[in-house]
Amino acid sequence: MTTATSPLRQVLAEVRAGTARTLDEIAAHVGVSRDEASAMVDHWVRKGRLTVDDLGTACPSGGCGSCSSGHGSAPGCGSASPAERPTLLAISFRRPD
Amino acid sequence: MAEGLLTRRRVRPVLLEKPCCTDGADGGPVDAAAAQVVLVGNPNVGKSTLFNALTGARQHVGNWPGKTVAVARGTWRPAGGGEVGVVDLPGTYSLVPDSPDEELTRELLVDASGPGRPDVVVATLDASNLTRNLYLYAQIADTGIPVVVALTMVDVARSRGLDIDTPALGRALGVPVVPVVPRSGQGVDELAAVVLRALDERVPATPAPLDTALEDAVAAVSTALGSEAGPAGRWRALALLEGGGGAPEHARDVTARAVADLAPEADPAADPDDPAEEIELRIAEARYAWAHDVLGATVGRRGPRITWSDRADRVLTSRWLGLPIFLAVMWGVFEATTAVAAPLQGAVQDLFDGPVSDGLGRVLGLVSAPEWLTGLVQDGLVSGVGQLLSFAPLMAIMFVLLAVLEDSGYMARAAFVVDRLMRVIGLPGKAFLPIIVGFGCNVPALAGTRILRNPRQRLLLGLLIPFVSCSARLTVYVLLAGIFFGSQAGTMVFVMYVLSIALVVGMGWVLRRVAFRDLVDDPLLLELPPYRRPTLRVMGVQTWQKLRAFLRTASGIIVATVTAVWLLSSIPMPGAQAAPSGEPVSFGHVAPADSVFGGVSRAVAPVFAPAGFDDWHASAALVTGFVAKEAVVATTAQTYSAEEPADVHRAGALGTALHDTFERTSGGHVVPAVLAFMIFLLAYTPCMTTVAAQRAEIGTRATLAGIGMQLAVAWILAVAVFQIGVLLT
Repeated sequence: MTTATSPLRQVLAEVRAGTARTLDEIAAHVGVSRDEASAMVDHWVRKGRLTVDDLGTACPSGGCGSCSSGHGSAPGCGSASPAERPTLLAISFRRPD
Repeated sequence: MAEGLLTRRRVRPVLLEKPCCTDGADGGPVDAAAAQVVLVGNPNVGKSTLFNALTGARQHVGNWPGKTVAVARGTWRPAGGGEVGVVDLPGTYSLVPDSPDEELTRELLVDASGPGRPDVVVATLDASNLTRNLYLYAQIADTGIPVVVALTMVDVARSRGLDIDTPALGRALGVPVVPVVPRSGQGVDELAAVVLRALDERVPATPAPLDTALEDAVAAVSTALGSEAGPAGRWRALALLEGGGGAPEHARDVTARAVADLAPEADPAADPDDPAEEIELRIAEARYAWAHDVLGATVGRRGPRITWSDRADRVLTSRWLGLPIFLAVMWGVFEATTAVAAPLQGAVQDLFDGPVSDGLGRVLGLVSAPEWLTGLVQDGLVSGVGQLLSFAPLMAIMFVLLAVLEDSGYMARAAFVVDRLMRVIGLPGKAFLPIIVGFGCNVPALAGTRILRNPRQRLLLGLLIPFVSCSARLTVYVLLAGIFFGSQAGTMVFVMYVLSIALVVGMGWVLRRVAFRDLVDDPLLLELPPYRRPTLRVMGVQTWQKLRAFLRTASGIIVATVTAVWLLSSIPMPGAQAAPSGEPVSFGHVAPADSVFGGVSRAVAPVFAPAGFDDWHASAALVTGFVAKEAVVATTAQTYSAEEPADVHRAGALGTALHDTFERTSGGHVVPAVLAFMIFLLAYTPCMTTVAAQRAEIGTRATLAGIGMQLAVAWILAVAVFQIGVLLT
């Protein structure tokens, strides 16, 4: 296994290039198991190269002005239970600010 | 993935107290009665349950001196006799600390010496996620402490088609591996036996091998460190190579040479400015390569288990079928919504137009209420609130259907499918989240743009959000589609939503090429959640929250707008003509068309002549729509009822009046004119609250530019649709 083409680097490159859209696709492209691909994505998240966001879609559709503005990085919806819904996990390449 | 990234957020510090009763002598047999065993592992691998199984009630918690991190500590009494101190360290993913919890584990395993150094580590590894667990194991093995592996979640691994050959895993790691089920206590006795043996033998774990160049560098630095390396010598050498601390004077040159020898092999894509980071990456690669080999030698895979969820995703998220299916699903939602809600809507409308309005009229007559008050209540408030409430069943049905889609996990698939469209306009895939929220309300959607880190992307998304068709606009679509498109009403509403998406993508595409050329494509990897059966409780709560929020907001807006429109409709324009009856023009005695409201609306109306709706009623609705789209239907009803009081209680009177108006203004091309009106309504400024939210997010100049863009785009599209429609009809 050479460092230039190691699976760890390939995983980062796959996310960066957008050639794979799911973890299964990454695992298939890189030639590792899904578990390995997942651990490697986690590795890059720890290193700050990738970011992970839970993309919940739940929000009250209460018409204009019904929702107070969000705070922090969260949209300002008053939904009490967005976390109870199946949410999409988005992993994106982190570019330097 | 979920086991790593998601569970990490659930990790809570455990209380910790400094262990007190170890002899800690390095290099000789340890008296089990005074020994200390620490449990180390990733979060949520069953480590604490194992700790409870070992110690029973003989445990307590407390803060580690000088730390805010805490740990549980207890006493284990093995079947063979004696006592062993057990410390349950906080769950950790790595000995390169990322949090105070992980820092404590690193300090105890690496930095501690003498009495504070553990005698044996019980590495608790999750069999269903072995890669990340083996990575941590490799780091633990580098500390030089004897290790015993407790293998948990073997049943979970088996259900995923993974058969772990435990003896082979033990041979590959060079340490005892014991499968355990902490909850039932299965395997705990066997674990006790191997831990006691490890305490007696005190054989350090075999390190996970690195590549040759790294091993040479580690050997060189270890030799240079000499006795200063301590019991965790290999770890210290690796840490120096990774830049994790200053080397002592006598080892500095050797370390620098080793780093220089390794750095030229750096991949410029990794980080050309930081050779230590490149070395750290190489060490990580070597550990993953080792883990890969261990997995290959010890884990039998029965082939990927294809679940029905996998099969469904192959179709629902397919490159070619995903988007058409999503559109078909949404068409079904709107079609079902309009079809099911139609009779309920008519019943509510009849209730307000008939009994409620008549009853209030009689009450006002009994108390001799002035004529203006009767007009305000009957023609304004009752008519407006009735129009609003007639949409409550429709909203409820739509919210229920959307809740089914969200709660089942389909909305996550829809977001996955739409991701590709986002990339076309230069926005990261996660930008679709505010856009989806925007279909409910643009205001929280604008606040949601903050999830984008790049300010230019936030600006672009902030300019596009107002083109997302919010639920307030839905009421106008349904009213007009019901009047002008009959049985095709649901399809027309669906078309408006498709046009909204097209407008977002189209304007994004244009803006990117005109003003946002600097934006780069930001790819995204999406991890889909599993499907699940929607739960009545979650759906009910969500539907009620949304409906209540809509009604609460809309009712306030309706009352305020209807009152304002009534007031402005009661004030005569200067030079207003007297009524044919000869009654002098005064406040409350003026034809709506001659009022201030009518005058302003009439002045605006010619602008819409090329779009086929050059009429003051239409422009009046659009003027109030600038304030809030919720008020459009009520204002329309109000302007017509004020003008045709004799018809207002007759079902369909508003529809007839609207039809007559569009027939007249469009020269007989009603459908193109109505379409043009609906498209203008879709594209122009959503409401004043949105303007305020937009200003807060993207500033005054960009907001003003955005309003200008929305009005221009809305007008151009409306004119184009009408003119093309006239040519085709």
